[in-house]
Amino acid sequence: MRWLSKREEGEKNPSADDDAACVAACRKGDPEAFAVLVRRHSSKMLTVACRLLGDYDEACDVTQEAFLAAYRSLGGFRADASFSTWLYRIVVNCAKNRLKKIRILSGRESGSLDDTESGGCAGLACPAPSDASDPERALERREINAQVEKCLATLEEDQREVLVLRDVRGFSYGEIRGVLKIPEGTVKSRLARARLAMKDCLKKAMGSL
Amino acid sequence: MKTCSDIKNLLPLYEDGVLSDAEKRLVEEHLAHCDACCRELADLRKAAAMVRGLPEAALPPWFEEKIMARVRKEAESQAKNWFWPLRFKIPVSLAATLVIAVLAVFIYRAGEEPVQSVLPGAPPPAALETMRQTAPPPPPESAKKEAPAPRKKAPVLPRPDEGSKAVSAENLADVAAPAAAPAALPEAVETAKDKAADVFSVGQKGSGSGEKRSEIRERRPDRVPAAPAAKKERTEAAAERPAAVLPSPVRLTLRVENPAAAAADVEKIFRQAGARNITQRPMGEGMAVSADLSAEKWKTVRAALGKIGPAVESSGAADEASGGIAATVVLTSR
Repeated sequence: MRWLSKREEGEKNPSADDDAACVAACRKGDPEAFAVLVRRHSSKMLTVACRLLGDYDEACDVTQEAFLAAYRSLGGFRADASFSTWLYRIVVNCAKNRLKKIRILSGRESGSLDDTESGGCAGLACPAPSDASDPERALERREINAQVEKCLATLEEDQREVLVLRDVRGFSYGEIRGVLKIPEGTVKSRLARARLAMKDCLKKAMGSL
Repeated sequence: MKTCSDIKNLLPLYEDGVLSDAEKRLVEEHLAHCDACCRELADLRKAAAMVRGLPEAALPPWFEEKIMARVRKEAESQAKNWFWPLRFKIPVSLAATLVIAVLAVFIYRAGEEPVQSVLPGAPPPAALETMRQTAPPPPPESAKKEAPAPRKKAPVLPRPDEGSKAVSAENLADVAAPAAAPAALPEAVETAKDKAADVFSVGQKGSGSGEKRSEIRERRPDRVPAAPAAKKERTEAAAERPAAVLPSPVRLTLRVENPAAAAADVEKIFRQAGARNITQRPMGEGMAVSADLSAEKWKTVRAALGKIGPAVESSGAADEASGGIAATVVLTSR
């Protein structure tokens, strides 16, 4: 199994020109060009799906579904937006649809799977290289991550989307607006409420931060 | 001076650099002398760091291959789809429409006869009931087996000297009588059906249903292959005398001095003639006496009635009636 490094290390985004070339090749009927896009973006998309859904298996399924939906809709992709932003939008929408379906099936009122019996995403993440030499610190880090995921799951769905894109993926406000198609004022208010709720949840769970 | 609650919603965004200058100055002025809000800001920073510290999800094995397998399958199906990138399902819907249309035509054709039987031209239930009652009980199996031979004898064939008119109620009755000709059951049923149809066609004069029924019968010549000509003649004869099986109504009006007394005399005459169902009822200023009797007896009765009073009116084809007669004698005062 291949473990991924943290976002900052893996964020060496390929240029939008490379994505555009691959998209053009796919449109011309070369499905193999799509493999480049999958390789380039699958990790980031899976992470977002995982944080939004709180369930690793569901996140893998939704990411695959999102890539397939993207391939089917390549004809509708306009070059004025970046391919990754467009792909994030598809992933977020697929995740929202999946949450809705799960909520209907389980008859629950609120969203994430994290507070159910599912394992979440923490155990499948790669520990930082510095933690490898210090098992105690690695364990502590894992516990914190598990707690953060639990708190993330308690957030409202729209707040969780904004928090994940901003604080987990490091998107700018403009990018969030582009992905979620909401005004910047809404992004700010949702983010402020999400951060306050997150802080309160973590403080309640851990005593002090 | 702003309170803590005023800047509570600004603190989470303070370090993102998205606050306006005025909002930023407000927050900074408040933080300068509010330890609680400073601690709040520190907690927000730590919480944000924890969220940022979440690792990336690890890709499962063969993740890219799984996606690409589905993408390749999709590409193949798109290549096969004539209408891609249009999402029409024209071939499927077209095929479904054709199947439904063919089925509809088939069902319509198959159900044409049953449908005609319930159309306005069909015999009414009452006529069908009469037909069932007229038909004799089913003969034993042995009789059924012997049926073809006597059937060919065609007991209903018209006698040359009588013409088509002769094949009427008497012949029908003969055919329908199980004791006389048990093997002629199918013929009897056929005759009964014809009778029912003809009775109905009388009621529906001008509607053309009689002709339609004749057409239907002509379209099915295989039903009575042994004597088609006899059947045709029988049909025509029955059509001419539709009420042959019913008593012919005959009405005679006599002028008398005392209708009540005369009614008693008339009833007596009827009784002597062996009439049945004798009834008396007042009619206007006079009386009416009704009875059922045979045509031969009617002639006797008619002669006897002439002694009671002069006949002023007579209606009904009593002379032509060869079966029963439903006679009504009306007695009016002078």
